[in-house]
Amino acid sequence: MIAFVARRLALVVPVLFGLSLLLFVWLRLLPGDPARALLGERATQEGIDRVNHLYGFDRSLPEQFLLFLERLARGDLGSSIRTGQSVVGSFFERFPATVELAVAGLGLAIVVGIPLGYFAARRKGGPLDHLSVGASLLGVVVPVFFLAYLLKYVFAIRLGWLPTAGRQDVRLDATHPTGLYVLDGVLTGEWDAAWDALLHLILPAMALGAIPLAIIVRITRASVLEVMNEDFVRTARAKGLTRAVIRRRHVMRNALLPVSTTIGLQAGALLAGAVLTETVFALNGVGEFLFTAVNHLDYPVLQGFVLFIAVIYAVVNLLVDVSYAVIDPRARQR
Amino acid sequence: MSLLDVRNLRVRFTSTQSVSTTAVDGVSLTVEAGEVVALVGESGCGKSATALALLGLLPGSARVEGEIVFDGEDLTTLNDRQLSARRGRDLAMVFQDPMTSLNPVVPIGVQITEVLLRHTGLSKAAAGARAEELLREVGIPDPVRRLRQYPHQLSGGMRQRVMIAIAIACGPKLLIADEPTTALDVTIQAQVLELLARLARDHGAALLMITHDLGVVAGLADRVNVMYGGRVVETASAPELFRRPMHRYTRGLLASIPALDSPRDVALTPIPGSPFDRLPWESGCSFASRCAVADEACMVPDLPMTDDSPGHRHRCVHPGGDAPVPVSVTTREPQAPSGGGSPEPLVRISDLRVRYPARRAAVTNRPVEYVRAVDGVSLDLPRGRTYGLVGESGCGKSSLGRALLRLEPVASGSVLFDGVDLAGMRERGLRPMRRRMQMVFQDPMASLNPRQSVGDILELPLRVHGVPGGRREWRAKVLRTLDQVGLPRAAEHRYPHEFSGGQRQRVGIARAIILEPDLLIADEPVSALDVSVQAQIVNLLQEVKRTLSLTTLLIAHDLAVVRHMSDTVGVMYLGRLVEEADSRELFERPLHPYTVSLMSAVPLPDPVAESRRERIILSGDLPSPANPPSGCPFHTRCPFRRETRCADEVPQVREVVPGHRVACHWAEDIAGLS
Repeated sequence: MIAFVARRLALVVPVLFGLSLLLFVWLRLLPGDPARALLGERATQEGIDRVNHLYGFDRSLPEQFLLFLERLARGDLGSSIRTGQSVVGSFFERFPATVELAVAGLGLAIVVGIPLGYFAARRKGGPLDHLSVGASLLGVVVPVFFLAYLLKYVFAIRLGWLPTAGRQDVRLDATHPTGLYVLDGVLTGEWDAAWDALLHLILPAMALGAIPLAIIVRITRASVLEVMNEDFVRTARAKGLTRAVIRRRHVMRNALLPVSTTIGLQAGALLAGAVLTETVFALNGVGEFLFTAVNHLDYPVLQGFVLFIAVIYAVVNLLVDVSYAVIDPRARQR
Repeated sequence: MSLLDVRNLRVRFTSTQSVSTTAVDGVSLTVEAGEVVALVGESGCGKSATALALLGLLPGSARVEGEIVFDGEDLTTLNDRQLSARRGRDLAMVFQDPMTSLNPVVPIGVQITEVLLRHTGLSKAAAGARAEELLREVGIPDPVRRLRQYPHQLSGGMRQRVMIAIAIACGPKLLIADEPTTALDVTIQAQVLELLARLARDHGAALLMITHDLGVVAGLADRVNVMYGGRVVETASAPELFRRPMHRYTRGLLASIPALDSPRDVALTPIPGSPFDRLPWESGCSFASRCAVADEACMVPDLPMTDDSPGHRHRCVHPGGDAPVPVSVTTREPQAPSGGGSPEPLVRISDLRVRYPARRAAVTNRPVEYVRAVDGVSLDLPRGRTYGLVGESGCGKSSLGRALLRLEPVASGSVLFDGVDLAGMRERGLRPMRRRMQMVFQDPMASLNPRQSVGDILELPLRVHGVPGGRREWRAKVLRTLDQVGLPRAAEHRYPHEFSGGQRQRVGIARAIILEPDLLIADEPVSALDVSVQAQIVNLLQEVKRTLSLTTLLIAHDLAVVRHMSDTVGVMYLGRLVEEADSRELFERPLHPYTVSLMSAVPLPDPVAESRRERIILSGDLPSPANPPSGCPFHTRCPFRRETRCADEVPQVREVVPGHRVACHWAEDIAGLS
């Protein structure tokens, strides 16, 4: 197991290197010039040259890349062209908001999706099955930003049940030791702050969780149907086991294997969705910041953030592989 | 009162609202307490559906009619909850494939204790102790460690022992075994059959044994029921059935099996057609369409059972009576003397090694350990002859066949094909050589592209190898080849799924011979087929080989088939050739202890011969080819093992008797030759 994790971690290093190189070259192939984007339409050539020199954009590409790597080795990802803030600092400032959103969105998808998929399979061809399959199809095809606006319009603006934007009512003036607002409220005992943060999280989580939810429902349903036809389930029935034991021990454990793989893959797509969701609900997260950085061709921010996201993605998938090994003894040997 | 009394059982599967198929069409049978009863039949005869109906395990699309009286209670009147209280306690089942029948993600121990916890009042700790006892009883060493392991960590034979332990855990009155040894190797099959019979006896359980293999039944069963087309067509005590088979189907089945002691120079007598082209019983005898003696008299709706003698009943209008089962019909043409042609063999394999990575390094992913699938084998394939290669799974026989075609990379050694070494040859050079060697695979369904018509499948090799002539000539060739393998010309436009297993294997053979190769490699060509169909394919292969003067490498685990078809036979064990001789010589006088035990493990379809002979049941499993034993690879299981040499010196293949090569240090002593 330790060797397995070590091998996977060792593989992450060349992947990150390749990704940095690719991103580095690719960013510079994009039309536009960061100095011009920063200084505006009426910038003088002199001013542009000064900015380019300041950030080292006047050097040759290999030189720039080496400089980037050298800084990276020291844990320095430079600072934003636009705001001058350090990239590492601004990432960790915004990261908690995104983590909270992603955990809530994916958590919702898992907690609702697996049981729904299971019951759809149990009652195959029944009304619940048709409903969940239909709804999950809808979940996949509706774009995230549209769903986000729709939810906001119905539940926040028209019905007024939930807050429209932000992460917490600023008037509460809560303290935030971790930056995860719901957790912070619980830790500090400020229950009204935790409750308020949770209410703020519901709509964004629903918008973000819709696609993974739909996919999890479908995979769970297909997987349960397949496992129920397996020989060992017939064996379990031949032993005279009760339905509850057959379901829990023999069907679900096996059916969860493909579901856990799917969840890992969804983690990547989730970040893309987070950009849109954070924008709609004005959550000051990584996604929103990245979105602004793209508009301003903020090279250091883009490079740094994408690298962070890649590391997170790799870690999440490693966790999925580890969970796979926990469920499936056959995977432990590989 | 019988323990089990099945009366007029019918099982119908409805696939759509209007379409339904009748799998079981009025089966009646009884099992007395403590009796061993066999239910024999080919695929589709309804034997497994009958077994599943007994336990109420059929899928929801099945409709069951009739009575299943077990221990005085009609099981068909019980609901699933009531039935589940009896399943595993009073009636238990052992399934065919122990790999898929055990849950891969639950430890063995839990899979045994859960049935105890369900049906007995044992505490968790007591159930664990009982599970340990059960594993010991089914002959699994080191049970404490095994209980914590998962199915994939056990060998096939051990997994089936675990299944048996689960089945006997609550001391059932009836044990149902559905093809319990079909997925196992011959030597393991012998162990498991012996175990099943012994345990059923010790626990006083009746055993209902469901199988397609008459050989398995002969030595084990008290009474045999033969099924065809969803009905029992003949029932008798085992000795009586094998001595005086009455029903034409039973007789056909017995005639079509090559046995280890049947004459070799005759063609087998196959039953024409396949078990799926059958008539419904309402219109007459279901077997009539395949029966040689059927006439109008057979077309009586719902033929009743006829009493032949006490306990012997059958459903045949023209019973066979006391006439012996016809075995030989056409005599095979005598072989051309081998000395006549060129003495140079078509293929000469020297010190061939094939290996697969078994374990890889943590970071670099480079293989650090290998499975030595073929570990230094040398043999010749003489021109125009059939070389039979036998051995159990994992012995390397298939790897050797595939390496010959360079479908597997060759680690070292040489393969001379007509004087040209294929082992180090580049892909480009191989292509014209491959045209001269073709392969027939085990599973014709998996090896034929389901989206291509048979005509396209057969034309493809002609096109790939740029056989001269255009589409018109190719098509003519396709049609001629279809004639050759006994398929109608209309087959050209049909797709693989439209054929039965036997017909598909004919397509597989046609695909292999259409290029008129010199060498045919047939890897388990009949093992996926029904018994009655196997004989057809065996005969076809023999005929094709003769008309095209093919050199054949036959790879099979079935000794009787190999003996029947081969001129020379080689026996492999753990990647090595352990014995090789002329077929007659090898089967009359096997010299290697492994060959001796292998032959003794094959069940004979004859209860008299079966009870008379002395059997050697090998203990233990096949060692892992990744970590083979030192010295002689067989010494860990060898009944003739000696203290000296066996464990530390690898025996070389040497000629012990002229033309008879053996890799055993003590071959002369064991055979009493010195």
